[in-house]
Amino acid sequence: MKKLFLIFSVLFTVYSLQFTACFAAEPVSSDKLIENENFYDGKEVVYKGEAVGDLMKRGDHFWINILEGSNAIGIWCTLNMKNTIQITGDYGHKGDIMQVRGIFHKACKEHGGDLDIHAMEIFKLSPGQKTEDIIEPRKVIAAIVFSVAALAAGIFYFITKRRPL
Amino acid sequence: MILRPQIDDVKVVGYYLGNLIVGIAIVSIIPLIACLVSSEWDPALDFTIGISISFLFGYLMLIACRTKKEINWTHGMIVVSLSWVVASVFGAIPLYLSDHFMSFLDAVFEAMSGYATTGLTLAVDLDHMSYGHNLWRHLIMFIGGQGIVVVALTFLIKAGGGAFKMYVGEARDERIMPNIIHTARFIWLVSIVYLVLGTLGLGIASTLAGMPFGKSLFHGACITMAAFDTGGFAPQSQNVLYYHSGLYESINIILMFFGAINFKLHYALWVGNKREIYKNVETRLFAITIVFTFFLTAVGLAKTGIYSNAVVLFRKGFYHLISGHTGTGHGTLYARQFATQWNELSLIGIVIAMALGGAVCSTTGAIKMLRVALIFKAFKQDVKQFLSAESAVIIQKLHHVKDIIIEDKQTRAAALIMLAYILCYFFGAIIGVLYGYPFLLSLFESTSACANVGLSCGITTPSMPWVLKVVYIFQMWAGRLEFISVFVFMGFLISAVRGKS
Repeated sequence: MKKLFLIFSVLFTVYSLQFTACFAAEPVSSDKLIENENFYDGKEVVYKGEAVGDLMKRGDHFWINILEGSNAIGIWCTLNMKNTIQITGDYGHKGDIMQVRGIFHKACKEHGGDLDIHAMEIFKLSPGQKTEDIIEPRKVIAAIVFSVAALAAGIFYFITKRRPL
Repeated sequence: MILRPQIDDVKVVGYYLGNLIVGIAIVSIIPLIACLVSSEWDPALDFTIGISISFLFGYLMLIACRTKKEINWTHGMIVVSLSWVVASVFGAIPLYLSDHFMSFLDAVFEAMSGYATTGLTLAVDLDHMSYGHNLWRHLIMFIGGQGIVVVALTFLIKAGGGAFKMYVGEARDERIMPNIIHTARFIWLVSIVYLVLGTLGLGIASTLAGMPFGKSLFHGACITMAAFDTGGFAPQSQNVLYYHSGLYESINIILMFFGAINFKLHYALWVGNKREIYKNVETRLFAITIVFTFFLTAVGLAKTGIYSNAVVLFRKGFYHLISGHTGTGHGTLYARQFATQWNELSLIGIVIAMALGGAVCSTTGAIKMLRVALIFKAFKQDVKQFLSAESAVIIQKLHHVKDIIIEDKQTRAAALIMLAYILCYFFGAIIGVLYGYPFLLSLFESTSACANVGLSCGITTPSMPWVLKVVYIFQMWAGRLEFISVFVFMGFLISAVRGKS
């Protein structure tokens, strides 16, 4: 009987762990959230993506927009979460990759009907970095060639302009 | 008998287009400076290439097309219609080089959307776009809102008979001042005053919303250019939702509204004639159609039950209604939410608002209020005529800066343009349906493109069929120019083939 109880206990624990892992660790994509907003509305979701733009402080909270796929979703965070985000994405930067656990709202009552996530927990998966502004040699060559040609055409135009038709 | 165009006709058109391309090159120096100031070296190269190609082609056309022939009405119309295509192609070069567009067609789509003040976008990864490229997207919208020819009239082309011929071709048949160059300069003066005020207003709003002040001003300038010019681009992928601010949306609404009113009305207000705003037929009708279309949208949204209270419903519904009615296209929803959240009635409200548009001689697109008023008054006149004695002469008037007696000629012109718009809305919708999109969503997107609005229900994406991209480019172009100059250009092409020499 003890053995049977042990086997059941192990099986139950493994099953529970698997279920928890599935629910908590699998982030939902932005497309999936937007397309299935009725299903996810008011539920706890896990969302992962790059922090982009600005951290916008509002009282004891702040907004951060997190980009996943082709959509960025606004995350409403408490101010004590602010230090977890150091770099946000823009032209010169790849932002921190963040994972958020929070409540999804398809039309948030508190925020004028915006689609958003109210964060319960946010942590950094990988830090952001400065991206190099790589200058492509073929662009440099093209810029020189076309500039010289444009200059020659401009000079020729101003010479011919003075001649009567 | 249609005459085949002579080589000198082509030269006149080519000469003015050459001037325009040189103009594009000069304007492109502004984002180049922005790139240099913000140490964006690769984007600076994109603009250097774009500028030099534009100068090269512009000067070659000016050399090849020198002629003594004077510009006539047909030339004026063709120059205008081709100006927008040429400007989009040359304006697309730095955008394409930015790697934010999947093809050159996508970049041309973006540039046409900008110049035509539509706001539909095919940019990929907008959140990582450089300041320079983002400024360029909004600057072309600012230029397009005033009109490419208005820009040329203000800065490049000398006053003369040709000026008015091109001005009319650009869907601006109203002179605010007796001199057309002064009219063009007044349009610029008004726009720059609003740009300054809007930048400050939105800059302060976004600073209060938590953004750094310098960046707030940049975003404020971009959004003002897009809102006053009823464009709809924004520097971030979430459009105005990015700011999460009711104050920001409120200032945005004011700018969109001012962008949609007639420059003649701006002039009346400028010279202190405040009563005109209440008396003008366009503002009155605009108020009526806003109430009517908002009623449809609000009832539709109330039926869906997505917005839990009236304040939230008003904020979302009214913002998008004004954005659609003024032809702006700014949004605080994800494109697909129109399809997944909003019901048919609420979408119909927005589609009607988009289809009607704002005032004539404004920066908005679509049918426009004055035409709707003219047709409505003509109907009223006909009904009164039937009810009166046969010998009675019924006169209908409307007030647009001054009292105008309605004539059949005006009504006919208004009805023809209205018909052209309606046919164009349905043409795009049918193409969308052919590609498998539901009818209402296809009509929504097609109306948005043709009326130069920019709201999207998710059809406009980089992965949409190329045919649909071409159709929307055509709609944005023809809709912005109100068809006539585009039809004249097509007639010119036909006459080149079938005309008598």
